[in-house]
Amino acid sequence: MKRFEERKLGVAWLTLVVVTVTGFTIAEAVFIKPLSVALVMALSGVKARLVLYRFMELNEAPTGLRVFFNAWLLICVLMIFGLYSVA
Amino acid sequence: MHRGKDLPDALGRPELAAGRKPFQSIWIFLVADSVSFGLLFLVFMVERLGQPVLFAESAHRLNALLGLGNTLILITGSWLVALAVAACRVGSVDRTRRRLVAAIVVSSGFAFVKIFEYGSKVGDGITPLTNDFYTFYYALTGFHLLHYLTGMGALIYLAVLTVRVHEIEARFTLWLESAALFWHVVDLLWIFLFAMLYLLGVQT
Repeated sequence: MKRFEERKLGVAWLTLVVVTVTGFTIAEAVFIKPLSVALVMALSGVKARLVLYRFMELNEAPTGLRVFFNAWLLICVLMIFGLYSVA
Repeated sequence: MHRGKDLPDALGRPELAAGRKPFQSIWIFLVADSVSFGLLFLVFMVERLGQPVLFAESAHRLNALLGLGNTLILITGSWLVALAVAACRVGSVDRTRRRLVAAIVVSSGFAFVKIFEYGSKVGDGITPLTNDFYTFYYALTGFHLLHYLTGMGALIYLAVLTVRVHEIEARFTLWLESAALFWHVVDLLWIFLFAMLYLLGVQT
């Protein structure tokens, strides 16, 4: 059980590293806007969700908190992407 | 709502909490904090609408590699703190301390990178007064740095406590879990700051 929990944390960390490097590479090498910007922000959303669910154990938190943080994360991603694109 | 009923029981005897975690009051602060940062992101993006060229040119001069390095540092620190919590829950004091110390050592790298980054910016004559973008850059990253320092302080305090603790108590676990939640939010907020300031800066 313990080993399983720790392995899950390790997988989350590795995924976070891979997604971070992927996002950075897209930002540095792909300049097909707004697709590249959408990808960068979507990957940031994926990272935020991994931190919330794997490290902060949001799945075990009360419903109100789950709704709040999912909404917060979605609003941040869409707001930054939307306002960046219309500028 | 069941958690109100479970709270006193879980606080006093976590082993009796039947696998359900007690509600931690730090969540309330974390919600308020996330709302504040969300509003700051919004203000930044709205300001950007007014002077897109200036913001784009300024953001382009940020060193995205330093941002990447700091993201990897915070992600790794967050993981090590989560591992410390896991060790604490099974009652291993030594492992908890080792993992906390590892988290502190790795995460201290963030401060060094930040000092180098601020130093090189100021060395280039770029201060918060340079233009609106840099006012935001210093304010947002500075506010985040305050969170980072608070979190590091809490982690160091808890690591020192483990030296005196021979057996892990429920209260210590609760403190560590709360500090860990705060530390993960430092990571969470940085994920968005990194994307908004650095990565989108590269794109322009």
